[in-house]
Amino acid sequence: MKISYQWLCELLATKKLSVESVASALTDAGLEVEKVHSVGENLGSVVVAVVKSTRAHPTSKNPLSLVTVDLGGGTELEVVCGAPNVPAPGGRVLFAPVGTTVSSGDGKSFTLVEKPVAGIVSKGMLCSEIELDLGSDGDGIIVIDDIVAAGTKLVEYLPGARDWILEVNVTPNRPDALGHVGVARDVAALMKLPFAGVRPKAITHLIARDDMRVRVESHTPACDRFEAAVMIDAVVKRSPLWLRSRLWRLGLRAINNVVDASNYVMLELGQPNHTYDFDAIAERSIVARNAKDGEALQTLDGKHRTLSSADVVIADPVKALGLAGVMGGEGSGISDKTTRLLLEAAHFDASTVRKMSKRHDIHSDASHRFERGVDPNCPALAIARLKELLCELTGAIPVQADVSAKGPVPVAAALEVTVRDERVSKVLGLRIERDESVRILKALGFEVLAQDAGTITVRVASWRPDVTREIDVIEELGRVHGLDRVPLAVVPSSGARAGVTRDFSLRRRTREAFVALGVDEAVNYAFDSDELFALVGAKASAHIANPLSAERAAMRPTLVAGLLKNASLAARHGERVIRLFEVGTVFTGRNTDDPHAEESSATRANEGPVDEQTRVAFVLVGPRDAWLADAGSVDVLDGKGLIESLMESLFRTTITADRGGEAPPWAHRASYARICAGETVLGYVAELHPSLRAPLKLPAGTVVADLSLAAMASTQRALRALKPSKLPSMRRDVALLVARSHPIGAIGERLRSAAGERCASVELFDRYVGKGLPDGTHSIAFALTFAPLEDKSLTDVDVDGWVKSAVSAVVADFGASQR
Amino acid sequence: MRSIGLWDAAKITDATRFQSLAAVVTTAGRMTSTPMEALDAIEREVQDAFASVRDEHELRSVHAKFLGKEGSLTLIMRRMPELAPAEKKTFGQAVNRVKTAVETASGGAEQRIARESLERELDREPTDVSMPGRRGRVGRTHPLHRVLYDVTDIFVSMGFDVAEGPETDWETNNFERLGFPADHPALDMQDTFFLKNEGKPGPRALLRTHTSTVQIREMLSHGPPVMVVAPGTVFRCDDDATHSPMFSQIEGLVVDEGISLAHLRWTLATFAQRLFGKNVTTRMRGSYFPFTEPSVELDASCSVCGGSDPHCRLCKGSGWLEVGGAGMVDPVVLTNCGIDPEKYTGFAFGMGIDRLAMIRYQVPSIELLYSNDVRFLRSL
Ligand SMILES: [Zn+2]
Repeated sequence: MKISYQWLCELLATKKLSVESVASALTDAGLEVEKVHSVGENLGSVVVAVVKSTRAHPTSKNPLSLVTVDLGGGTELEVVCGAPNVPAPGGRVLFAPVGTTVSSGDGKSFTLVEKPVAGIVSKGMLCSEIELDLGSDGDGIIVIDDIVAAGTKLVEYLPGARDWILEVNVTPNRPDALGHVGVARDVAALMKLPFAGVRPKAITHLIARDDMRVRVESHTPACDRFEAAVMIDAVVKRSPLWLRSRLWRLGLRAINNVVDASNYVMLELGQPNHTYDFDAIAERSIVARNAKDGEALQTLDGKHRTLSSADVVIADPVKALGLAGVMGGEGSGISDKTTRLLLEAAHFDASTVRKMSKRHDIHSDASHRFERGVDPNCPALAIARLKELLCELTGAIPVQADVSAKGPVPVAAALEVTVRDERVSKVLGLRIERDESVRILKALGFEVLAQDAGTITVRVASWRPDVTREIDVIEELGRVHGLDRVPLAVVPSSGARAGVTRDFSLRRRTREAFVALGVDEAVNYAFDSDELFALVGAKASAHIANPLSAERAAMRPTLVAGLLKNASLAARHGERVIRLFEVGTVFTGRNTDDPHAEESSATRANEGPVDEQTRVAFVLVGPRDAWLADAGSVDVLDGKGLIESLMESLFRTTITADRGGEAPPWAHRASYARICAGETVLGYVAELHPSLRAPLKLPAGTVVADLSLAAMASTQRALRALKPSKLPSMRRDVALLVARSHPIGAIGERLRSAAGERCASVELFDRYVGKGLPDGTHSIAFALTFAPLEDKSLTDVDVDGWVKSAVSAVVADFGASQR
Repeated sequence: MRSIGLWDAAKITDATRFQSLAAVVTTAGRMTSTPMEALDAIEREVQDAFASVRDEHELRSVHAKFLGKEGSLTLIMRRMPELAPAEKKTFGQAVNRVKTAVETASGGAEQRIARESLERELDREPTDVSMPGRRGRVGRTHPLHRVLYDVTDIFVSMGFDVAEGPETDWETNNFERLGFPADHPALDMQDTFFLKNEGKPGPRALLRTHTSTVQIREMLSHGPPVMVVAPGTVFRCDDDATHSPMFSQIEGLVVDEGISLAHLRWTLATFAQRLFGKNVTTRMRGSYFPFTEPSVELDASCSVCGGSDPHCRLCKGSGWLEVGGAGMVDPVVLTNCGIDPEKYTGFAFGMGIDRLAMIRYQVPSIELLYSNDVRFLRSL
């Protein structure tokens, strides 16, 4: 909402407020001033000039004229002017001397210099609204109708020409601040100034015209106040400069004096209102009613709309005149020929207007205000103010036929609220003296009905729909007294009892473990396209009904797709080494229990409408860590190793890998592993399926893994400390020639189980495939480590015996031979 | 690896030299002279023999040539019968003297060899330490999580629990129970992604627009006292230069007897000081959120310029940084969660992690945070 500082000062009848103090007081009180635009600071040198004479430019082919103007104090000057509307001698215009910065209308500005125009030097210019940034008219120069002496400074004639526009972030609870009066009232309360609001002058000059009596009725509960008035003898024309410039500065385009007056009242009081051409209303009758299903209306934006019974219209007996509280219709507006006016201001139900505005996709100044809740008592005031302005601007005369419709629903009685002093201190943590509370409430327009030892009872101002309860009044007291006065008090720490949730610390530790193992963390959107998920063979089970785009409509059923997309992007950027992981939520199933039920997924800590799981995924591309040597590209064993390190560092769990289960769609059939810990399946790691390499532009050897964090964490067991022996352990190496069809893991396991209980570890340390070996075989070497019991030394004889049994076992089971 | 070659070459030269050395010793043991003459000859050889010894191995060999089983001194003892009885004592003393000389020379050579070996080791070709270190890759935690964890740690150190909940939720928890008025523009403050019903009728599900849903679940699952922060991912139907449709947030909730706005202020002021620095001051101003009353905004003084720089990159010249929106929990919310608002009061606050991350790491645009561009991730 744009607020004019000058207008505030006029309403508050003061010139003592600085812009800064107003802006900071409003910000502190919840009407945040986001920006202050200083406007018209270049207009100090602009003066009113009186035209003395005009002659045509002697040489120019363009329609230029040379205008001699009186600048007051005996100064006359001849100015080159291209405007078609130079007034006759005696007319008043605005003169900007050389040195003035003027606007060129396209957002740019330039400074006037003394230079010849078509051969004649001009020491300034006669200005249009655009040049002075006072309006939208660039077709001609500004002509002033008021009688002003030549040489009068513009800023003296029109103080509002120099202004500061405050951009106020008006929160949805403060519809009253969508008018200058509401903001002025807050300023008055905050800065302890008197403020009486707007009081239109009583109009004494009334004409009684029974033939112009209007029937005004509301037939819908959505309209509980409906005020109208009729005026005659209006002269529709351009508004005076003060009005045109004020509207312009606040972001509205001036139209004519009637429409401008209507808009002015809206900006002043926050009450949307409408002025009709009386003669366009059939049967002198307007009603507010629900639309008929299928009823047609062309709104002022030119669009043809089909209405339903959920819409409310203002209508005469023949046709709908406009969408109530949203936008007027074509055909009943003010034209140059209009002389008789029908003024209308109403109060509409906020929710009804909001629904209409959404349904028809119209966001207007009127709907913006009504859907937030306009003061139900304002229509009558708005009509009075509008009449006052129209008398002044158009010369129209009010007819004594004013009508106020009694709606079918009585307007709710003003609320009475009692506030306990003790409760104020309890909530704000700060004591507010009774005098101060009373002052604040009165300044905000609340009527103090009663006071006793500990309470104040007030009648809430009708323009504050947000204040209905004691707590709301407490907020008003705090806000105006000054929230920054609230002291600091240490929280008595009695609440915490659960500590950090296990999932939170689990995800955190997993991320930290990955980082320590050299992998970078990705954070992808929780949604992407069905196509992307289909690429890796996954299908989303939850979709967004109103996505930003189809590319962001499906809730991810897997982390793999996003990571592959990230890796693909990195590869296209020329990254050779890509190591990415993500720990995040996937969405796998939809649940439809009743969230209102006492025992439902809405009340439990971790259940929602969708089954959510935390997954752990990674993608590895490119060579291993190496230096001055080609270490080769990563393969599935690097992926397995990463999982091993991860599980060891997080849970001290040993994993196993096999080719069981069903390989994921993204896995290379020859190079994938199901990862287990005991009986628990953790997930899969694999080389990327060859058919995915081309679409993703990723190289062979790309490794992908997808694991369940819950499964990973479930493997954690209590650890028991080992008491280390003081005696040395012994190592024996065993080399075997064996068929490659036997999994090395199984051979290692067999060695271990056959080597007796002193055997502490069996580790593969060498493998050779190739020349000199029979087809289909390889040579593998294991290191067997034997650890002594606490105080009993190992002997060579014992150890050699154990190794011999171990070797015999694998010779028997796998047809291996010792080398 | 390459240096091993040099050492091998050195050994070969030493071996050749050693052969000639052994020859000298053998000559000294000739049987042609008298034992005494032979002993004299041996004694004369001692100093030279040890002086040219180059390493431990040579030393042991030379020592053995004199004193080993077949050493010249050992052999010469066997010639004792050739001597007259009167000479025997003198000869024995002489042999002992020569033995001592051998041991002394040997000990001296041993020390010399150790010294020379140390010198040689220290004088080897220096390593070019400008070569890159041999190392494993170091990963990067996502900047959002770094900030999220730092922020969470501060609140945990102040006594807050950490609570979490699902990222999808029911409209009930996201709006209704929080006291959002139905059909009110306040709903527009949080443009919402709704989920398709997937063919099943029922209440509307959505992507949570704030982690207030977690606070609701906390209050529903156990009564006061409550003191939690809820960090997590939230979603709003918004995508422009300053908004991402998904972002991270942390919200806090304290409900107990006697909780006031002053406790809220202490909490956020203490947080701001721990995050931005001890000298930071705070200001509290009015605001509006549908679920708090009164609602406030808490600002911290700019930790970079303190308000003195009109072109400050951090505060843009305002002198203030928004820490977060907050307020006293609206009594309606407490009632909706089965808590008596007359007995208990509470405060809640919320702040965006993305904005804090952008400030801390000077991230030029919010979309970078979700780009997962490896170059961006590894720059931090
Ligand atoms: Zn600053």
